[in-house]
Amino acid sequence: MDRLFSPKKVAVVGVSDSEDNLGKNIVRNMLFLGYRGELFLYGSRECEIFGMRVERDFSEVPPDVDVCVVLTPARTVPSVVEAFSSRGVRRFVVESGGFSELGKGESIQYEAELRELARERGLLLIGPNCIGVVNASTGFATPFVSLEETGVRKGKVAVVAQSGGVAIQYLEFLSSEGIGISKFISMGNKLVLNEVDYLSHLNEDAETEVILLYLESVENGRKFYECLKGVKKPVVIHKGNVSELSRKIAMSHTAALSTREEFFRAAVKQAGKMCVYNTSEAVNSVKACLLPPLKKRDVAILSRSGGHAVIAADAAGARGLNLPDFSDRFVELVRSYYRAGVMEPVNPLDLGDIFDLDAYLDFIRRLMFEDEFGGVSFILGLFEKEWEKLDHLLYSLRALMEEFEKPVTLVLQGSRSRVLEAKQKGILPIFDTPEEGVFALSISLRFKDMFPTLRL
Amino acid sequence: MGGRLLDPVVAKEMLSSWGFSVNRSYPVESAEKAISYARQIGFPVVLKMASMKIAHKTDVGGVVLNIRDEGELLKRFHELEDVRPFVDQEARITVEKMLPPGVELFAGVVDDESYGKVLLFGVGGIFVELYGDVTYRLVPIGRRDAAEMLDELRGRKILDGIRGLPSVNRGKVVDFLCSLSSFAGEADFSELDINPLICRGSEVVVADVRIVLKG
Repeated sequence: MDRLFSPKKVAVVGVSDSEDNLGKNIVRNMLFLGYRGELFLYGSRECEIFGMRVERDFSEVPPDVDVCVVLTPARTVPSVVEAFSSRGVRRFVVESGGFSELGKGESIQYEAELRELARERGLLLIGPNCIGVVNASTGFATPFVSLEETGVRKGKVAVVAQSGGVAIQYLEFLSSEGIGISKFISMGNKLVLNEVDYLSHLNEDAETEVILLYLESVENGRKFYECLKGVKKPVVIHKGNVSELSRKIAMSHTAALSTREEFFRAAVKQAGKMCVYNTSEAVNSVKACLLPPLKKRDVAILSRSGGHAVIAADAAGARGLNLPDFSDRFVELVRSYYRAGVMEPVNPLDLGDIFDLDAYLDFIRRLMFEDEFGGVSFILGLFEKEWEKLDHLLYSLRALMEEFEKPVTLVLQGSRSRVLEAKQKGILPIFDTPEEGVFALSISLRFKDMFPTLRL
Repeated sequence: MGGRLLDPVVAKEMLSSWGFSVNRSYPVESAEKAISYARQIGFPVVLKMASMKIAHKTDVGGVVLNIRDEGELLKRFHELEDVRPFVDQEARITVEKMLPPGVELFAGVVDDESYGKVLLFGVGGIFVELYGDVTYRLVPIGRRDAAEMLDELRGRKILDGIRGLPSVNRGKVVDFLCSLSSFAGEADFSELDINPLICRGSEVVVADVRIVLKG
């Protein structure tokens, strides 16, 4: 399994120099990402591409090829896999579509042939109908869509998805959030390897600390549950395809009330993991998992704008977080900074007429120190001249989180390009709205027994 | 899914022998027998039509609650006998004790092809599907899972006692769910409904159970 993600020799089948050939994008991506292994290219006619030979004849395939990537028409796939496995290749990424996902005639037949071949010869096979894997640390990459624009930022989050499109979207999101990925897996039709195999592998993968999984179905609910329970890392599952109808005619209430979707949800909860139903919650959950977890429900909210303090307080109520009163010492500290001195420091704290980033850091340090508070959400719109102090602010917040092992969710407000630039620094996760900052605090409660420190 | 219903009288005996607190049913062939059992267990009593064909007795008038005396019992018994041919000729009539009012909960188990045995728990009564206030866990569960199930119900306040009903001892409900989980792990069936599970203080009583066997 390890070598499937970190191969030294890779064959790519289905490459040509014609303009609309998708296979050559696979090669281009690996060159772009600096993959250092050996590449062997095959196609329906001999040619040359990126200075490499494309061969037609499979009989010269080196026997020690670790992974064979296949992107040829579905009807040819069984014979390609047959030929390569006869040469001793054991690991395949089959990206071609046109199998059971079409749900008809020959396409079902091709998939059955492929399944039989894999079973007989004990092959490890990703797909079919997928874009395969990316290993951010080696540059091994099989997607046939160009990764040049998105880039692949190296990080600690593994993305596993039942849809190539969703996988690429998460790759982009995590990249633009400054988080990056460790591994990327598009599972496709899950003919041989499925979510259970990938979760087990990633659980052992030293480069992965958080797993983001997009699922539309599970192969076997009980196996999935047992596997998920054994994963020692935070897992965020984005579940799609949820509108299953319950059985209308049943002999019992139990049967009438039972849907696989409910079972899935129960399994994830029982395994101590996290299930969300939309993309932004999934991204925010991943960001939350990178922070030290909230260990108690009592939090403080600090905001430069009174309105956002109110919005965050509402969100905290809705998410089951408490906003305890500030200690006398904290109130005194804040009072010493207020200029007009007319405001009463209450939680959520309106920073009012204090315009001093170091004062804010002082407040947060004090709150982190007090046992009363499990974490802080800090909503900050920066003035133009303050952006130059951004690094100082981000590094200071990061240091506070590391020192006290408590989370601060920073909600940074300003022009989109400024905020994006701040995220890209990759110093700490940054949130866009007060609701997201509070959401992130609340969900990390779930993982409180699992990880102690900052993971970005 | 599917299969056949286990005789409801036998289903109750089965749970009872597993140590569950069950409101037992006594099949009676005649009104005289009904009266003699009613005297033993004490009025008020309930008459039920125990059928292996009908899914929901209440829907066909197969449950008569709160029968207070022998005269009423006689009358109701004959009424049930009269409708029996239209419902299920082989149905038996049973007499059981009328439980004092309590919080009506629902518990169930289904054996799913993909997930195996799954436990359901929720707010019970005849509208259990309408409200759908039900939570799910894979068998086996621990006490912490059971406690979470109670907390997950939208109608969990019902456990605190409502409209004059005494509050429910949550620990006893947790015990019950854990026992049901162990039972589900051992016994072979495809579906099980306990509805209602009547809870009153620390009493947690199976008032009705339906077991669907495999095949």
